[in-house]
Amino acid sequence: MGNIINIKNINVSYGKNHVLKDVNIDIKEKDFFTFLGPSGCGKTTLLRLIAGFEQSQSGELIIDGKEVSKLNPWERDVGLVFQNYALWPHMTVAKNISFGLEEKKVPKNEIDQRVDEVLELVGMQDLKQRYPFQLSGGQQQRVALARTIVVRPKVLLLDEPLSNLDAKLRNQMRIELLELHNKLQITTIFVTHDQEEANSISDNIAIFNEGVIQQVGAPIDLYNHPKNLFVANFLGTINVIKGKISNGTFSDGNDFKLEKLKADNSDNCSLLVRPQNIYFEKKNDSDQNFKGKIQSKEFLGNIIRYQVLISGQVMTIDSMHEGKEKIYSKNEDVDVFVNPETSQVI
Amino acid sequence: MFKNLFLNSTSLIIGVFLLLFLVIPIAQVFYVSFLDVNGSFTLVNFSDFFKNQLFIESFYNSFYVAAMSVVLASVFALPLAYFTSRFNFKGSVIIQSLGFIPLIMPPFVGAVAMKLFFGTNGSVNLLLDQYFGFKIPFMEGLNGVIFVESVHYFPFILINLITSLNNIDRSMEESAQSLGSKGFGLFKRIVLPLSMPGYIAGASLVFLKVFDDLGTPLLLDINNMLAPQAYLRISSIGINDPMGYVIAVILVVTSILAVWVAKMALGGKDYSMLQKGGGGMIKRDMKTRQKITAYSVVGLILFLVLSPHIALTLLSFGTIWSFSVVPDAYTIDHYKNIIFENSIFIKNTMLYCTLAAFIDIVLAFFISYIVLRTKVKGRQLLDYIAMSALAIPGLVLGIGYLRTFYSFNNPLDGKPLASWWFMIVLILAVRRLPYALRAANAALMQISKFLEESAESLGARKTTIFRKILVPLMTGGLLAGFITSFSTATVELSATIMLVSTEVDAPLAYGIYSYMQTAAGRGPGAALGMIGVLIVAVGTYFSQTIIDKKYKKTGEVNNG
Amino acid sequence: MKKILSFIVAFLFATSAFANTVTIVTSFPKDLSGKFKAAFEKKYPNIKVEIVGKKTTAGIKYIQETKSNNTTDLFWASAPDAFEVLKGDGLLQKYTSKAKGIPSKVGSYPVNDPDGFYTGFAAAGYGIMWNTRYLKANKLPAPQQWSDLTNPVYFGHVGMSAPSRSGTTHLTVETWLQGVGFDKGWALSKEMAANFKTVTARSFGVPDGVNSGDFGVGIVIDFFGLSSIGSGFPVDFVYPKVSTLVPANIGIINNAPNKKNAQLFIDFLLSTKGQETLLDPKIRRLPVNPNTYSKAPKDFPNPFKDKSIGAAVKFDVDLSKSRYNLINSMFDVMITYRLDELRDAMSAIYKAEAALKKKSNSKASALIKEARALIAKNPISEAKANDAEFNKIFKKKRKKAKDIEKYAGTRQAEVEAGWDKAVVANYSAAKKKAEQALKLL
Repeated sequence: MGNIINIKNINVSYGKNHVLKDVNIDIKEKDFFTFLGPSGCGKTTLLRLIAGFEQSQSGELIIDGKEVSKLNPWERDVGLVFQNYALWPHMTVAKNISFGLEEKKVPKNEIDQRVDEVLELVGMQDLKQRYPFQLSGGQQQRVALARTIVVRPKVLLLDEPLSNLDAKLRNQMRIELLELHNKLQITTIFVTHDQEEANSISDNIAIFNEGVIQQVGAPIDLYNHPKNLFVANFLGTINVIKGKISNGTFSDGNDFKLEKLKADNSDNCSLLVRPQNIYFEKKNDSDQNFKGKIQSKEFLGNIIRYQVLISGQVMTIDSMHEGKEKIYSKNEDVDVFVNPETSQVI
Repeated sequence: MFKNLFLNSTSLIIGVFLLLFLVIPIAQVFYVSFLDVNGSFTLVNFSDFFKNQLFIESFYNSFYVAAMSVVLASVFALPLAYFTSRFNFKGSVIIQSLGFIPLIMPPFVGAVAMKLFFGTNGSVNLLLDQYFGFKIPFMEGLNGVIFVESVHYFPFILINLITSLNNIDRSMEESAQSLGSKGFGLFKRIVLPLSMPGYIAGASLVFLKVFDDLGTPLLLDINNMLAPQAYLRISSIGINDPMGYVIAVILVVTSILAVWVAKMALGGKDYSMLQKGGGGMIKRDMKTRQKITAYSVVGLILFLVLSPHIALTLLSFGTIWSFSVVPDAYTIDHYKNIIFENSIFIKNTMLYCTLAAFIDIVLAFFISYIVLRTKVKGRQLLDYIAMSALAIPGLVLGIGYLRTFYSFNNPLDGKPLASWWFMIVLILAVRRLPYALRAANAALMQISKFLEESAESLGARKTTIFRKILVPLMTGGLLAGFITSFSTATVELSATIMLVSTEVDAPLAYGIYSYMQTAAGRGPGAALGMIGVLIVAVGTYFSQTIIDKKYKKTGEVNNG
Repeated sequence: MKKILSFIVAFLFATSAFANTVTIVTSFPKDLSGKFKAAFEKKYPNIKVEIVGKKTTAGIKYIQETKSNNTTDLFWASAPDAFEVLKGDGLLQKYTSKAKGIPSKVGSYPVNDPDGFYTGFAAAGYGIMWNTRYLKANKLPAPQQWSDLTNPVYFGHVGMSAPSRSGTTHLTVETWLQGVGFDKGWALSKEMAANFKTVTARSFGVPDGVNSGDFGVGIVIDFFGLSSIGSGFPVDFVYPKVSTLVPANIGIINNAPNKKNAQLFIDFLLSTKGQETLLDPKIRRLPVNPNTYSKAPKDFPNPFKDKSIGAAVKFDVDLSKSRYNLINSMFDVMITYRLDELRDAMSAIYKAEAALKKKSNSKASALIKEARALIAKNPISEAKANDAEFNKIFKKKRKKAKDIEKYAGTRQAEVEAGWDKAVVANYSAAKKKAEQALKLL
């Protein structure tokens, strides 16, 4: 499978405000690709740039082998689904959906057939003649999707499509989106600020911060091997210990020394350990032991989250709650174990 | 206890006011139209109306003129609204401010001025005839009325259209573009339908206004329309001729029907509520050729809609303007004449319109409070009645006032109440109440109810809440209502022409009208018109800046 | 707030603050009344003139309805028949001014009411005004007589106001009817009307149209023409032969509160200063004192010297009064509201006549004659028009409001609808005949 989108050295600025800086991304065909980042990071701008609603000052945008930077939105063959769905209130569901086909001068009978197909696909057959204001949020979302996919765009662009839904509906829609993608095999770009959403749905993710791409990769790779602190922090809770490393041994300058790390020498680096990778009992031979003191605990259901003082620094430790494990209380002295293989130095 | 007493008595007072000065006069008109020679109920007057060819023709003409004025006004308003909301267009500010100026000049004054420009032997036709050997009958017969009215009233469509275009969420348009739609197709299928509610609101207002306008056809010597027929019947045959009342009833019924049809056409679809973002349409830069087209279209339209002002300026400074492209020579004597000898019209107008607008905002404040915030019985009715003044032709209200108040004498001077100058203030107040009410409603809706409730829980009484919380917060909205009422009242003629009994009591519009009835009066009349336009324009400008400042201030508070 | 209130209070009482006043109800425009008010107040600084401007008909009604608590001193207007109405109702009181040098007649009309209830102070006649630039541009001759206006060259160039709209125009029409006879007068009216561009609703619409060049020729009362000339417009004015000079009048109301001042005002109107004020370029009415004309500009018409002005018709004011509304109604039905049909029919006749000039055809000639007869045909005869009972339908009731509702309106509307039908039928038949004639030629 080749790349369907190549974004090369894209720069966008509004006056002095540099919104996108030298952005380079390649997106594979049929990929479910996510732009992830906090609000104002430039992810939506890039999506709109692909759709043709923003202009870049420099760089190239290639869709399916064609440079499209100078093309109008209606010439690009990409479908954008808006955050607020942007359903036209003066048209019925059916009319909303058939709009794009009519614009493409598709024959009438084919339009009817394709509209019915897509309505069935999103499970909205019965609501064909309704007006948007007669629909619930989730139904509006489905119509917005249907309206876009019915024209079979080369790329489907989704701008925070789930953000206007409540939590339960959001999970359900997420699954439906994924099923839809599997069925249709359309390259999809998804914009969100929710890392859990991104992880659960994407083949690949690009993480944005302040207009710069931080890292691109599959969710698990990004989670396990963040290239920088921003990515590390953004993809979930992580313990960061500042210090130096020499000959595979990390030291925070106090009591904390972790050996047998695979990393180059550095005088200024950070050790990253996810809370679930610190244990209260030894699990592997290569685990190394440290002394700690419980500061507080938090019951989260499937896990218990402790704040533990280790070598003068508070670290977060997640312990699976299985029902039989030992529960520690405040000020209790504990042994903790860290494995160099599940730790990372950057 | 006090609270309810206060609110109930206020509602009662407002109710009585509306009953006396709106409902009863109109009811009088309806009542008389159904009376036969013996004073008992009959439909024969209406059958006379429909048997009389002239009345049928007048009805048809009024309808035709109103409808065509809507069409022509749309032709003026659509490109202006389109360019301003669609492109990064330098002319936008000019359009938006100049586009409103026609409203602050009485349409019949525009008629006089436009006759000089576009008449059979007006400037334009003289030039056309000289260079091309043909003339265009801009002002012949009904054409003239349509032309003058649409130039005067097109801002109603423009304002509403621009507002509704700006309310369209830009994603509405982008999603269509993303699906392959572009250009005019996009405009036709998405933008136009979405701006329809605003357009229809504006268009129906234009229809109503044109349908009941009296001054313009009168000055253009068009008799066979309904409003002039009613006026002519009553002023020549007498206040007791039933046909005048029958025509008045037909005017009211048609107006209400027009409002109803407009409402039906919308089918209760107010899209603005359903869209979340707003932010207006995508604005694009224009290519050079587009720019040239846009500027020439806008230039032509602006020339057309400002032609009354241009011609009026020339007339007010001109000595003799007869069968020539421009006046023979120029002078400032007309202004001297007005300012030194006849400033009474200006004083009267300032007094009447200030009082009327003041009455309006006081009434509007209490009505909107009662309707939106209380559970006083019949509050909705209060609102309906107050708003219904919009659909009542000024002429009909004027006739109703004459009928109702002529037989009562004013205790101050023993003359009929109908000829007391304060009745002019009242009729102006009633006529313009809907504008003020709309502004007050909008202002009150923006204020959170909690602000009042928190004051109440701290022990404040209703009057204190009004004075210390609501009035300060609503100042901007109330001031906007004041200006709209004031500036539109200054140009009113239909209602006041029936009530003005002496020249000393006459307002500006009437003064101009009577000036225009003497050979030497055209210049001074025009000068008077110009001064009126200037006063309203300056007043509006200053109030607008006050509103802007106020809005910024409260805006900060609300956001912070 | 307080300022506004005090302003209102001041305003309310301002008008009643002057005890020594004279209140005048008048139909005259401000240009005229204002000048006299200023001149009078200059001469009598302690007397304040209060002008109440009303159309003539409204003024009559106003005085009738306020008679129980009368505040008006003088009624000041053009039309003598308005004064006849007030006199008939006993609302005027006698006064004979001591002013010297006023002759008993102007033209063939007595200056003052023979019974002494009202006094003439200026004369007015009816004539034709035209825009010289307009006539030159359209290569039209200046008309001199009413019959000139029936010439097809003036087609679409003439304007007149409806007699129902203005008392002065009514007198013009009545002058035609009395001057050449009822049927001939209507025929003349309609033949002139065929050349009308418009029938204005306001009497001033006519001079306004001529002044601005909207149309070239207007049928107007003299002071409109003269004051337009006085204001500098490129217009001219002439009195045709069939014309009446009628005095404009002033009379003291029966129980006038300021009788003395009222008398002073009448004396002032007739004084040398008052009469000269009439010559003001914005007023330009014919003074009733022959000596005043020595101060008049060149070419100012002088009826006391030029005996052709207004002498040809002996105007019967009683006849005019008895059928006032009926004549107005006939004019409106036949001309004002059916101008398009009339013009259509007449232009067809013009065409046929032009063709007839080149080629003679007795049948066509007869058809054209019939067509003209159809145009001239009136819906009622002179006898019926003068019938007092029939005229009652058209009477404006000037009594109490309750009496009015009983008779007014409905029947008049019925009669008018019948006339309208007949008139439209005649016009369209005339048009058909003219077209038939044209086909024969």
